[in-house]
Amino acid sequence: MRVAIADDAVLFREGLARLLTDGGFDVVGQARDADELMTLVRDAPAGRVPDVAIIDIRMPPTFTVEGLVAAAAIRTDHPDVGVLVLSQHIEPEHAMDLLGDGAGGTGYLLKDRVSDLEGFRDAVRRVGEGGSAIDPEVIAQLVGRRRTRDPVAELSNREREVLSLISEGLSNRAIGAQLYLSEKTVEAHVRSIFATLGLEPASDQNRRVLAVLAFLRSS
Amino acid sequence: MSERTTQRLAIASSSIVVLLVVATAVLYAVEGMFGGDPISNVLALVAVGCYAVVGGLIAVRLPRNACGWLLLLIGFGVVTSMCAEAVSTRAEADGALQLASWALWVNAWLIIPTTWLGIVAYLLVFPSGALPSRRWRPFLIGVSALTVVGVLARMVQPWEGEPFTNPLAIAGSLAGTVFAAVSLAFAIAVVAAAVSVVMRVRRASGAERLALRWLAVVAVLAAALLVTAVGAGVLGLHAIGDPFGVAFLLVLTVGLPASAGVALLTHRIDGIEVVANRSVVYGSVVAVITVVYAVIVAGVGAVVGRSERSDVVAAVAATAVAAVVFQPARRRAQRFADRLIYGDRASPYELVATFTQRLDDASLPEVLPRMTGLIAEGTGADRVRIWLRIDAELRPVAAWPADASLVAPVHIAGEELPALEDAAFAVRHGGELLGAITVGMPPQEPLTPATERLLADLSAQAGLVLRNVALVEELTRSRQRLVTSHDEARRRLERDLHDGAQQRLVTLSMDLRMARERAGATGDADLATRLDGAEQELARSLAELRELARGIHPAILTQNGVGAAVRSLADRSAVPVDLGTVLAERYPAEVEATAYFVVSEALANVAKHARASHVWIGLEDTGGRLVIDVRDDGSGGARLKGGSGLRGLADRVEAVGGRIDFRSEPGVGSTVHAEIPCASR
Repeated sequence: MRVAIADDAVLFREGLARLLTDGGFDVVGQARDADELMTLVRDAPAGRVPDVAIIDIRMPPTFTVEGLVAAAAIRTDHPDVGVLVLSQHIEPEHAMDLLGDGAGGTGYLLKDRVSDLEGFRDAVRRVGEGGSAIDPEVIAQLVGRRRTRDPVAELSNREREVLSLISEGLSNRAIGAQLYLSEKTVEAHVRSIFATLGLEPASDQNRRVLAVLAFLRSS
Repeated sequence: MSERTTQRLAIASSSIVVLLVVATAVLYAVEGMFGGDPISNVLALVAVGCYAVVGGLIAVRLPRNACGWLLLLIGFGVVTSMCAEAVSTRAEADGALQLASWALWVNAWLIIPTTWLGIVAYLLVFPSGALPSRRWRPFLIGVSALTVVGVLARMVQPWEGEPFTNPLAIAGSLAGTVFAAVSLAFAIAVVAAAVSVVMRVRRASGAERLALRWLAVVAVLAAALLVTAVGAGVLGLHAIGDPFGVAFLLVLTVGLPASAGVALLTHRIDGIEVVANRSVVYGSVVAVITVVYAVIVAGVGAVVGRSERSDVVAAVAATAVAAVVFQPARRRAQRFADRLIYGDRASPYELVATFTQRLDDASLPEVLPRMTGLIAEGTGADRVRIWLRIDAELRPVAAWPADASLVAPVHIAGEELPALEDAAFAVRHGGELLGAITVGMPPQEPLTPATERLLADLSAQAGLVLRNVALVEELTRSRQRLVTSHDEARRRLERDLHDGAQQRLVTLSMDLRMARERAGATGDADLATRLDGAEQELARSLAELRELARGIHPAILTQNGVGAAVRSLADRSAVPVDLGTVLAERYPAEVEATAYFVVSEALANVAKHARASHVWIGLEDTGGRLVIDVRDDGSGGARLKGGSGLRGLADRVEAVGGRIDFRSEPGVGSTVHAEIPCASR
C-alpha cells in the first residue's frame, strides 16, 4: 500500500515513514505543508499515486486547519486517495467535517496513536481500502457527554464496546476478532444498538460511522 | 449710532409710551371714560402696554430689526390718540374749549403716521426687519406719501356733527373726500401687505414658512376686518364699523405676538425667539395687571359709589396693587413663556449656567451623547459632533442625532484645529488641544455671533469633561491592549507546546514503541517490559499536556471560531448542555477568546457549585453585539461575585467594551449574561 506523509515536523515525519516502511508500506512521498502534498498527489507518476495521505491538521502557514482543507481537496479531486488526518487534540467537529457524506476513505486520529504500531497500521490500511478510521477518543467524548434523555445509558456494557468499535470504523468481522465474538453475535449486537438508539440500520460500514457520530452529537 | 445709544433710545421710547398708558388710564378712570366703551378702551390700553414693552425689548435686543421699533410706533399712536381724547374730555369739563379742540385735532391725525403706517410696515418686514425684496420699496414710499396726504387732509378737514370745530378747518375743501380716499387706500395697503405675507409664505421654505404662516392668518383676518370697518366708516355706518374696528384691534393685539409665539413654539427663527419669549411674558403680565386694575377700579367704584373722588382713589389703589403684582406675575409669566417658546430647548443662558451641572450625574459613557444633545437643544443645530484627540488624530466620538453617521478621523498637526466640515470650536485644557465640538446649522438658520459665543463658552467648559473622557479612553485602550497581548501570549504558549514538547513526545513515544518491538523480537523480555512502562507513562504525560494546552488556549477557537469552540465545550461538559444554533461567523480574536472564556468559566462554575441537572447556553450575534447566556437549573444562591475567576472574567469582558451580569437566586439557578461589542469579520 502506497502512503504519502505531510507534516511540518521532520523528526516525526521520518519516524512515521520508518514505522510504515517497517510495516510493509511504500512511502511514496513526504511533504512539509499542504501545498507540497497537493503537488505530490497531483503530479505522482502512474503507479506512484498514494493510496493514503497521512496529514497533520496543523501545518504552515497559519497552523490552524490546513490539513483538514487539504484532506477535503484531495477527497474531491482524487477520490481514490484516502486521507488520514492526525491531530494533537480531538474535536468531534473535525471528525464530522472529515466524514463528510460518509463515502469513506477518511480517517481522523490522535497523533499519539502512532505509538500503537499495529493499530495505527490497521487504521492506515482501512482508510487506504476506502473504509473509515475514527479515533476512539471522539466516541469517548461523545458517549461521555451527559444527556437529559440518554438512550446510550440503556445500552449494555458489551453493546457500548461494540458501539465504540463501530464508530472507529471497524467491520463486524474486525469487531468480532477484537472482542473474541462470532460475526453473527456482533451483527445481533449492532441490530440491537441501532434499535435502542432509534437509528435506521445501515449495512455500509462508513455510513454507520457517520450515523452513530451524528446521533451522539445531536442528541 | 452706537448700540448703546440705540438701546437707551429704545428704553426711553418704551418708557414714554408706558407713561402715556398710565397717564391715559388715570385720566380715563378720573373722567369715568371706561364706562362708555370699556371693552375697546381697556383692550386698547392692554394692547398699547403690550406693544410698548415688547417693542422696547425687541428694540433693545435687536436694535437693527425694525419690528421692535414698529411695535413701539403702533403703541405710541394708539395711546397718544387715546390720551388726546381724554385730555379733550377733561378740558371740556374745565371749560377750556380751545385746549379741547386742539386735543381732538391731534387725536384726529396722529393715528395715521403712527399706527396705520406702523401696521402696514410691520406686516411687510416681519420677521427679518427688512423689506422682503426691493420691489416693495415703491410700495413703502407710496404708503408714506399717502400718510403725508392723509395727515394733511385730516388736519384741515372740517368736523361734522361734533360739538367742536377743527381749529384749522378749511371749509369747502375736498379734505373730507381726500381723507376718505386715503382711509380706503390704507385699507388696501393693509390688504396688500397681508398679501405680501401670504406670498412670502408661498415662497419661503422650512422654519420661515411656518413662522410666516401664522402671521398670514392674522394679517388676512386683520385686513378683512379693517376693510369692513373703514368701509362702514366711510359710508357713515358707525354702528357696523365700530365693532369691526374693535375686532381689528383685538386681532392685532392678540394676533401679532401670538403669531410670533406659535410660529416659534415649534420652529425657530434665530434671534426672534427672544422676541416671542418677551411678547408672551409681557403680554401676559399686561393682561393680568389690566384685569386687576379694571377689577379694582370697578370694585372700588361699586363700594364707594361713583364720584370723581372714588375714581381717583380707585385709580391710585389699582396702580399700587398693579405695582405689587408686577414682579411675581412677571416671574410666573417668564417661566410659562420659557416653557412655551423653548420647550425642550433651554435658553442659551440657562444652558451655559447648567451645562456642567447637567452633565454631572451622567456616567462617563453617557456624557458625550448627552453633551451633543444639550448643544443641539440650545443652539437649534441640525447636527452636533464631539471629537476627541487621540494622538495625532481627531476622532468623532459622539454625534447628535445619534444616526448622524460618525465620520472619518481627521489628522491634526500641532495644537491647531484642522479644517472640518462644520463650524468647529476647539476644546482645550491648559492650552492642550483635547478635541473639538462641531455644529452643522440648518441652512435657513446660520450661526449667529450670539450662538458662536455660546459655543465658545461651552467648549471652554467642556475641557474637563473631554480630559476625563480622554483618560478613560486611554485606560480602555490600554486594558484592551493588555487583554490582546495576554491572549496572544496564551496562543503562542499553546503553539509552542504543540510544535515543541507535544510533537517531540509523540515522536519519542513512536521511537520507544519501535524499540519495544525490537526488544520483543530479540527476546529481551525485561527490556520490553520497561519500555512498555515508559511508553505508558509517556502516553499519560501526553494526555495531561493535551489538557493543559487546551486550558491555555483551545486550538479549535483559532481554527473554527467561537461557535465551534463553545460546541466543543458543550460536548465535553459534565452537565448536560442545551446549545442553541451554533454561530458560524468569525470575530476578532479578542472577542472570540472573551466569549469563549465566559462560557467555559460559567460552565466550570456550574460543574463545581451548582448541582445542576441541565445547562442552557445561548450565543447570539444581535447585530454588533455578541450576547452570551449561560443558565442552569441548579441550587442557585451561589455567591458568584466573590469568585476571583468571575471577577477576572468581568475585567476581561469590560476591557473589550462589554458588560457581564451574574445572577444567582436560591431555587431558581444561576445566570451569566454577557454582551460584547463585535463586528464579524
